[in-house]
Amino acid sequence: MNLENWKIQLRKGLLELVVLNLLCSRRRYGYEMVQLLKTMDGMAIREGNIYPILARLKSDGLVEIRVETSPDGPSRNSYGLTDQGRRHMEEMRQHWERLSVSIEAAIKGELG
Amino acid sequence: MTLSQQQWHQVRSGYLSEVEQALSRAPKEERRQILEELEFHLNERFGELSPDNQTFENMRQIISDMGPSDEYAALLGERIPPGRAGFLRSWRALSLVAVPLVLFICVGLFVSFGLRRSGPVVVEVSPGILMNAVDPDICEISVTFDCAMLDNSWSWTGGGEHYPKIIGRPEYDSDCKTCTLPVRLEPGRWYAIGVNSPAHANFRSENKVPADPYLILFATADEDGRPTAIPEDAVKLMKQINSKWRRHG
Repeated sequence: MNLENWKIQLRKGLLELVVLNLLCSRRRYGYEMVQLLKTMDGMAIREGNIYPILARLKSDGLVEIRVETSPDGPSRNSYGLTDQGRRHMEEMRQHWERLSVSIEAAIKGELG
Repeated sequence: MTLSQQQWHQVRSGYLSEVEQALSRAPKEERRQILEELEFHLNERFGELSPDNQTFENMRQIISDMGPSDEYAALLGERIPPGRAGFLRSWRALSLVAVPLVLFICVGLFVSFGLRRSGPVVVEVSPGILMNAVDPDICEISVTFDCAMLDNSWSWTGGGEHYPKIIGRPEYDSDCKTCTLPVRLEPGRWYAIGVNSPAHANFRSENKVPADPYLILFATADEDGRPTAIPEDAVKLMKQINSKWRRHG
């Protein structure tokens, strides 16, 4: 098994959970989220990867976009959670909590 | 535009074209959203480089950090329909496509007779292209098209030190042919501002056909009223971008 590939797949699977949680507290810009992800150990992604994720989340109705015009330059897209996005995020959080407890138990040899 | 900025423009455009190609079968709205964000992100990264660090190697590193363009389609996942070659291998699929396609073409040809088939054409800009002694006290830039445009929809594009300071919201005149952008200019400077770009194309006709990208390039007079030079490489770039335009008369 290729360890790097495993890490990449794991990160991809968790990325939506992280992105939705980043948007939970307030609206953010895509560039801002990439910078935040870089500070998270193990979650730094190829910078362009977040934009297809955000496009997918928007198409799924979990995220909405607001175009913000700026007097100092081109307009920017800011992202926020929809109500559906909040519900989805909450379900993902609960599933993650259950999963992480199980994984932790397996790692500590507490199963079987 | 400096040589490094020109190089960056080419590197960035090349990457955006690759991504656009990789997403050619993706839903249009998602493709547009991704390309818009990428262009902004790339400009931010380039803007963080000091002039001494605007090397070709650093530009390539920025592109490398974004990731290979073929990852974008994979990340969009099931939004990308199956490849056309596989689909057309089936005769049944071919008949499902061919008949409606022929009908669509016939209807399209019939309907398009009275409709505009090409995009909006720029007929006038103010300040004029390559004017080099523009009054720095003017407070607006405008573009006039040959047809009514979609109201409240525009893409004034570009950025950096030669982009004018925007001081208000753009607006169209009553027939939606001229869009005016409130700006503040300074004496003795050259400016470049785009009408649409490969990733931002909200200057559209009422039929939602986007205008081709167009670059407005001019310079203000200096404090003594003398013309300001516009760099040759900026002029060359403008001619490349604007070469697709047809003109009236």
